[in-house]
Amino acid sequence: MAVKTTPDILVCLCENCVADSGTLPRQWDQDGCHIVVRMLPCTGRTDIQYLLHAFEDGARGVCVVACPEGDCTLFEGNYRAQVRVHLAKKLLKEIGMKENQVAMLHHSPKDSTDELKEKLREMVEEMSGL
Amino acid sequence: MPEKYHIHTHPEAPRFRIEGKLGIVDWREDCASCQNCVKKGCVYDIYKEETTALHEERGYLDYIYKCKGCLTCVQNCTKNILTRVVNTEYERLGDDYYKPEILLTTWFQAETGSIPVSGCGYGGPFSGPGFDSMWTDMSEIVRPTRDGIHGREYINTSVDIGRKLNHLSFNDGELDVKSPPIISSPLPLMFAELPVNWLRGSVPGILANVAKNLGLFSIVRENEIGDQDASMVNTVIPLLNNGSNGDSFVDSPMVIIPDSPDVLNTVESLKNAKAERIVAVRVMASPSVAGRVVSLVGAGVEVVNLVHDRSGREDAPDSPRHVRDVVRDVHGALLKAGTRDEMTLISSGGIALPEHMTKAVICGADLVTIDIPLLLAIECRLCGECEHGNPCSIRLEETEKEYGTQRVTNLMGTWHNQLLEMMGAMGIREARRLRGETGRCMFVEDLEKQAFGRLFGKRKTDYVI
Repeated sequence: MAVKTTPDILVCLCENCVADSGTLPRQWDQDGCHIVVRMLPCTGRTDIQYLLHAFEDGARGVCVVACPEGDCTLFEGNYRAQVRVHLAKKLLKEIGMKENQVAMLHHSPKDSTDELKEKLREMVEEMSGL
Repeated sequence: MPEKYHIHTHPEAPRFRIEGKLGIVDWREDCASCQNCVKKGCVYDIYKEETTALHEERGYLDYIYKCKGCLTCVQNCTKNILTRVVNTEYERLGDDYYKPEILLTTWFQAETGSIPVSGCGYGGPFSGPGFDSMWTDMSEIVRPTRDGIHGREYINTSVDIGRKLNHLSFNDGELDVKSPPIISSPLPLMFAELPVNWLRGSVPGILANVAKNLGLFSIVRENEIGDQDASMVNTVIPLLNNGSNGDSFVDSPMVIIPDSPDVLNTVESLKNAKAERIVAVRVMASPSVAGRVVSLVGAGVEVVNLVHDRSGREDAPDSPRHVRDVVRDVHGALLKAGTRDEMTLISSGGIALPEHMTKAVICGADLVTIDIPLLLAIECRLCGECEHGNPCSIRLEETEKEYGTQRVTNLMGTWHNQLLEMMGAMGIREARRLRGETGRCMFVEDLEKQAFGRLFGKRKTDYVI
């Protein structure tokens, strides 16, 4: 049986919001879902098309992890990501999908990576139930 | 004149997109939709490719890092909405020794079969740790070489493996000594046994196939040798376990055994079983290794395989030495003992680039073994996911045999060509004569001493070597 490498849940993670990204697993299985983490230079690089492509490929959810408001290295990347995530939610609702399938989390590099792992675990639990 | 050894290469595109170094972040919401948008003027067509990729590909953001870093768009955008960023995934490639640049250059060589040309000058430091602290002397590069290394000039890259006689003796005009067994490799390198994580799917078969096609030798652990093709018997070198009698491998041209207190008895029993088979002893590099190698060679061992760790360091608790220093130390000790020309020294570990192979030979090794670069050729990312039991993101185990064979062949072709280029530029026409030829290189500590020693005295901090 071929090993699954395409994600059920895609996590787009800003590289600046985790202090030791090396310790964060890049992929894992939880609640029957395959989760894949992709690092971004800034969540301002996300685009609605990126998010929707994941759904086209069969993903059940996409999560964008950005820096706390006002803490973006590029000043406004997290704000712009929020706008795009909001728009993606709107589009999903319009086509009859659940808007909760796209989520956004905030995490500061001052917080521990374990805290982020816990947040992601909770988010995956929620999405896998959809 | 014998036929030239040549490795035939042809381009083989990667299965997965290569991680690029640079990307652009843009605030699309602020775009003024100018008629003469800087994106249209990108000389590398990055934005055009990105738009196409965005519609057609599902590579999850891989394609955003194709920027070449010219900064034209960043500087000229009237709304200042573009920012150049470095790809974190690129920076995470490899490890402390196999740096992202090494991975990219190896992928390029495996894809194109051509020598990479960096161009635009060299922007980095002029020395670094390990092999970067020795420079080869390319002064002969100005010598007219008629039609070059691929023309009429003949540069021999083959080396001999085995014991050589230090003199001949005759009785009544007849040769009175029997020549010990010797095998020849067309390049001063062998394929090392693969680290356990990579022993999966088609990978071992691909490497065995390339070794057979190119006439190179590949070391394989005894228990990993399956029902091999009869044509591969001559190129596979079994690495025997401790206490193994090697009866199953009487047809192999050479076997390697690990060093142990009774290693000489094991060598003798293996030679008694078949005298024409070369027996090599594998010794772990350590601060006292030179003495051990000298005693083994003095006792009649014909080949010594000196093993360093993956980053080319010896096994020592404090300040482990690099391959270049360990091999020089061993080579020097053998010269002093007067036995250097009688034996073959194979160095393993720390060979990541073709110049490392040449530099290790200059330091005194006859040949080297490589493993990780071969895996890089079939697109390994060295991400380490397999070590944690996670699935391979590029499905290395499913690599097609023909595809993998061509990629590794391309890599070997470029390594051969780079060895020719370096030897041509150093004015050496024979790889056997390159061994221990330190007159053809410079060591940074020597140069520093010559240039600054009189002014500043002895160096007060350690060299980073």
